[in-house]
Amino acid sequence: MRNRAFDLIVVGAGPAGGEAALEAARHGLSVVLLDENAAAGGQVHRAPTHPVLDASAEGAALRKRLAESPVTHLAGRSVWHVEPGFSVSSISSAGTERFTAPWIVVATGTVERIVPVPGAATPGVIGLAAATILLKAYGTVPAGPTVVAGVGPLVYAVAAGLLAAGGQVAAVADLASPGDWARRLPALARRPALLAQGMRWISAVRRAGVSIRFRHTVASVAGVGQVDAVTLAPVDQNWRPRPNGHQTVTARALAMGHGLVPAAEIARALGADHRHDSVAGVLVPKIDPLQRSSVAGLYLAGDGTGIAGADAAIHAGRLAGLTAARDAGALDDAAFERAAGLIRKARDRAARVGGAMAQLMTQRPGLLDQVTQDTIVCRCEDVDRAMIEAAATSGARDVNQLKSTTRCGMGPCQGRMCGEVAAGLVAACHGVDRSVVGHWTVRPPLRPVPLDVLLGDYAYDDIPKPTFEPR
Amino acid sequence: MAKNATRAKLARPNPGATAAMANDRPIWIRAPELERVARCTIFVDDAAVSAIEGECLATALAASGSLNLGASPAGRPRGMLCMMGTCQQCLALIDGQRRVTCMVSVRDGMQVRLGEGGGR
Repeated sequence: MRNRAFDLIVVGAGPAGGEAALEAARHGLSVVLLDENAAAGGQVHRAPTHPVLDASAEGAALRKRLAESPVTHLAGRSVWHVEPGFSVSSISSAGTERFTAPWIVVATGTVERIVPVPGAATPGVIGLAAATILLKAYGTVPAGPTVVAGVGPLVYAVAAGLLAAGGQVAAVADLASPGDWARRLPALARRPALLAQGMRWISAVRRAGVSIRFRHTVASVAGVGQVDAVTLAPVDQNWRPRPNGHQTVTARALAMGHGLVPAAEIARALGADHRHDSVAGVLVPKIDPLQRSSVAGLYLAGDGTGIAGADAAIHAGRLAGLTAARDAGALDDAAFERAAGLIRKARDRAARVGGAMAQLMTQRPGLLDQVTQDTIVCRCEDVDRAMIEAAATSGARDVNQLKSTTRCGMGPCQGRMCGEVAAGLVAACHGVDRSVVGHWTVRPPLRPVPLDVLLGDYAYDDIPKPTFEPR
Repeated sequence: MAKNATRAKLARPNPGATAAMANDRPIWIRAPELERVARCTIFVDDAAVSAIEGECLATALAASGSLNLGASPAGRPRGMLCMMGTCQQCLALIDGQRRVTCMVSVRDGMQVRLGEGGGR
């Protein structure tokens, strides 16, 4: 396996990772930037797969700056193993590669929380974040009527985006009430551009005659191998589905999402301290005001440290790169303090808006009630709620015990999609807080690795073999 | 799962949204800009399917009517879900390798086998 040494490894080329790499390189560090996608930009500025599709200005600018910088940006690399000190192993169509550096910035963003309902594993049901990727990068959308459901600004971004792309929106189901939105207006008003964009989305949806149902969720999805219909249900203020008032709409697709969860596995694999954020209901790494984790040399930035949005991620990423450069001795304390002070202010200002949106999306306890007994929770291993509750009542008190008894979270996604829901269900079963039931243990490989790729293409004769006596 | 029954009929460029709904098939549509660019051919379970070089394989499959990509251990169909390489639901056998179709770019002549990527 090739081994390449750098001053700094940055994992994740979204707004945070991209800025971290650029900032550190500007101060003279040799930087390798590893990312799973074909181009930099992260999910928020995901690059179009074809030049005829328009890219976001921010994404195009970030990619241009990276291309013109000394940063070694390696796209299409999935990180499957990390070791303290630091060593990072990646896999790509080029095979496996290993990178070493004394400093590392991890900016791996989030995964979407999708709280399932009966039929939600049917092909044609996608995440809200997935729908934004279809719109931004792939230029391909469901032609048939699509239900857009969940919580947060993405609901309206996706509904308006689908309409603009020539799709049809059958209905919008928003868990939030108009009052929930109104309470976030003061924070949003600090960023008039964002507020105006949100208003444009909502008016586009209304103009198209799409009914927006506030305080509604998806109760079930009908169809075998494809979506035929989606049933919507009103919810109470804790997002608990009400027994009456259900309505079924004909649909060919459903885009559904319930907020974002930091992707913490690399920082956890490296032993960084985490804490359960009881407001957001997710595990977040402990970082200092300069983006340092509890592990010396490991810096964290972006939504992976707690949801604050893409604008905050830009500044957090720059600060992580700057702090790494300082700790590497690339700039003196006075220069560092001057630069860091300004970036911190900008980061905290942007985070207030992002934080208000994150608060809107904070999962309320009743939402888990939409997961009925026969709802598939773990799509990879076909584990439903009844199996999870049976395991919990027969003694599984944390998620790892649940995993070994049911295989929930043991499939190829490694529990990334079902983990938070499964944990919530175990906690509910025992009547305890979600933080009590723990988190999946992080183990390599962090991403599925085909064995033949891992082994490489060496010949049998390359393997060192002992010689035996007598000859 | 009768997912291959109509594949030959589907292997033509953009049947159009109206036709798709009339036939009750979950066809996806490409942006008009994409409809104007040159096509290549991929092979999905040996049937020729028109696609665009460089586009996302998962959406190319969706645009040709294939949403059932992977399969759960119990044999239930699975399709694209996260579109960012995390959920592994859209696994297929691509040129002999198990890969998530949402992170693969279409190449001319690509061989895709569905329903064999997931499960065990």
